Amino acid sequence: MSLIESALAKLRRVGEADAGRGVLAPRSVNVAAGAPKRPAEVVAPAPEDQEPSKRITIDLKALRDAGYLPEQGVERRFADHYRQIKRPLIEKALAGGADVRLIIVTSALPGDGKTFTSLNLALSVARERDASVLLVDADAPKERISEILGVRREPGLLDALADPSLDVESLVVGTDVRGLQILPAGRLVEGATELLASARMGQIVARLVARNPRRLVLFDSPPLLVSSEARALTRIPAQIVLVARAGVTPRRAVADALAQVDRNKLQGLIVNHTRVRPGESYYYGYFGYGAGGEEGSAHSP
Amino acid sequence: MNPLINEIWDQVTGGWRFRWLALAVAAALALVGWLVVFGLQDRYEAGTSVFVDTRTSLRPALQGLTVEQDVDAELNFVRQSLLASPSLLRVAREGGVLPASMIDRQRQELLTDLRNRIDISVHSANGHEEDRNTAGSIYHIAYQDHDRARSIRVVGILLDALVNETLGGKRVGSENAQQFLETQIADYEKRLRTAEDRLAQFKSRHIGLMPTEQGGYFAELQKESEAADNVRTKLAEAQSRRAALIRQLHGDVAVAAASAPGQAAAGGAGSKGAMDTLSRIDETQARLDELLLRFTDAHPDVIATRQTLEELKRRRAAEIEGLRAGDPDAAAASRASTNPVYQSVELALNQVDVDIADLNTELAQHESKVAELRRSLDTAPQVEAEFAQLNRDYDVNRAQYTALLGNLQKARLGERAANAGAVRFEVVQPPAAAFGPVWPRRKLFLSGILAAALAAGVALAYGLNYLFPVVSSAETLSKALGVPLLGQVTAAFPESEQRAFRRDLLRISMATVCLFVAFAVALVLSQTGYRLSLTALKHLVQA
Repeated sequence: MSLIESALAKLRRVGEADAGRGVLAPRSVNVAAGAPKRPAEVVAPAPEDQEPSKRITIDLKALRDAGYLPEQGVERRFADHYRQIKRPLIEKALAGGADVRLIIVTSALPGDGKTFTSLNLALSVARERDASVLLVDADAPKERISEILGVRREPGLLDALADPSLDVESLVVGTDVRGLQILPAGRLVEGATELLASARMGQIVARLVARNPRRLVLFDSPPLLVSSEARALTRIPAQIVLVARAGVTPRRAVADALAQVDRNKLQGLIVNHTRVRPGESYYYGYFGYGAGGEEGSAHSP
Repeated sequence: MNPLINEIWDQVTGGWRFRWLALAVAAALALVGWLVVFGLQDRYEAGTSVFVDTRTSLRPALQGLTVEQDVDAELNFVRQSLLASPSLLRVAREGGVLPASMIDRQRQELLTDLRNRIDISVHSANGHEEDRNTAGSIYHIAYQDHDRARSIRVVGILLDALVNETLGGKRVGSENAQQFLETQIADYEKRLRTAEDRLAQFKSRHIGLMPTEQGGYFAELQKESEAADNVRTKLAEAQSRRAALIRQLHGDVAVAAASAPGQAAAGGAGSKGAMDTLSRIDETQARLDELLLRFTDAHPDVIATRQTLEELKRRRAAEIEGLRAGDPDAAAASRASTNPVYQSVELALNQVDVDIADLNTELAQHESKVAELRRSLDTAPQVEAEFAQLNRDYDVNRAQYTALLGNLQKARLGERAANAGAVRFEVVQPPAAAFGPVWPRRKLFLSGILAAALAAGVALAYGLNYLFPVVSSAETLSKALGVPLLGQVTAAFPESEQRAFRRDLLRISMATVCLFVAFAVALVLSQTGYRLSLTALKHLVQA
């Protein structure tokens, strides 16, 4: 059993215990649709343990096989990477207002690792004691998150956008990982860009972040340079994270993408797949080996 | 971490993206280059060396007279005469380079090409560059042709031409030297003659002003002045002597002579028989004394005699007065002149008078000469200088003329020596050619093309990476864009990536090895003499 699996198993056990306490009744919180700017804490300090009606089980092995989780050998190192990345994001989200609890993960071009980053970041945030996370599949044309988590057929964000009578919170899917919830992409309709840029989108986002002051909403966005949805999405007040892939993403594309986002909202870059350089291999090798060996001996059956 | 190493690492990893394209381009370039190399025509080089001792005929003729001709000049001469169009045309015909029928333009091009492929070099036989004129020269003729046999043939013909015509034949150089000498001699003769004429004219014009052998103008002036002074001194001397003599004659000598009648009478009476006053006084006195013995004083004879005596005494007194005054008649009358002393003094006086007259004449001559010289004071030195100049010109011309004449003789001698076979030839290396072509150096070319193609591939990969850079280092990117770095994530699947990388490395290595195998095949093919003929290729395409 890998590190992350054991950790998640632990989380699941906690989640099941919570569920057993019977506090999972879905409750519709009436957040005023016209008041997205109001701080969520003031409107409705919702209890943390509200669980969605739908629940799915996350198959970590399938995720790893599909390439969305790292190899077992580098899990530890990856945990470190994401711990480092999530820390400032969480601190800002928990200290600031509702809008900074929304985190948009985007990139210049497809294939830079947005979905990988948002999934791993979401898993990392879910492990936090003080925060939970809602992973929103905002990459409507591809619905990659929905697909890999098996919620592709489920109604999601686009449905909520298209149908104002629908409460978006009711579409959130719970998982067997404690602190991790999923909002599927929903059915792709014509005029997705317009929907994402509409006032309804603002209401939905406000609804999502207002639900729980300790819940971070993580948007898996389409690439900035190829889809107009992404540009519409980045207009929403949020923390924006730009993902690039070393050795693949052209420098020019990163610069172009940067030009399209508001620098004030931009939290920073995440560079994927950085290569171990000749001079750095010793450090990484030592670190990785020592830590891995320790863990390995502790968890070996 | 060294930023330079980082940079290099980024470039390598960035360029690695284009590895397949780079390899493909390198392979394509190499293949095309190799085909071209195989299509190049072979060129063989034939060469021959001949030792030529050409110095004998020219050197003595021109030694010391003109600038020494060096080996380069001689080489130029040989090259020009050997590669001149007519002789080259014959070489081309005999060597079979030139087809029988050909239009002029083509022939010109062919001859130019032929000339370019012939290389004639020369170096001194003893190998020292400094004294390369002292020994003979070794000529080396080289020629390149696609046909090895023909290249040897052409070199042989060139060697023959060199030995028999260019150097062995009549030496144009020697002839030139002789012609030169002859014209020079004629020239100098003319000059010499004009110099002579001028000198003669000058001499006749300034006949009196020519410097003598003893010296020039000033020397002569000096001499004449001194001579005049000398004469003057002598003249003064003579005059003082004359004065002394006159004094003697008029004074004491005359008186003494007159007052010594006995002696004078003894000498004078006998020789001259003349009676002078003194002796007549003596006679008259004696006759008186005799008369007084017989007669008284009143005797008329006594009285007459006494009167005569008185008369004579008076005359005598008058005579002595006259002598004292220096009257020669008086002296003569007084018979002083008959005295030998008086006579000798008178002789000396006469001699001195003559001397004085002579000296006066001489002085006049010298003085007139000095005056004349002084008159020509302005013109004489100039004339003298001009004369010296003319003389010098004449001397120089004559010396050069004589030297030229001597050299001409030497040159003729040298030519005769050359004609008699003094130019020596020894074929050091008979015409021969290597069996392998000298061009193209296929191994070198093939290797060079491979290296260049690989370099082009690397350059392409580098260039593409430079034109289309990707994100390499997280730190660099965040610094360049001015965006904070949230974090960096290393490879998620290092093991499978490592496997993929190894597979990829293996594949590209195999491909590279294939390229090198192709290179080896090309080397072997070139070694075995396989050539790509364009005409054969055309036939192949048509078929």
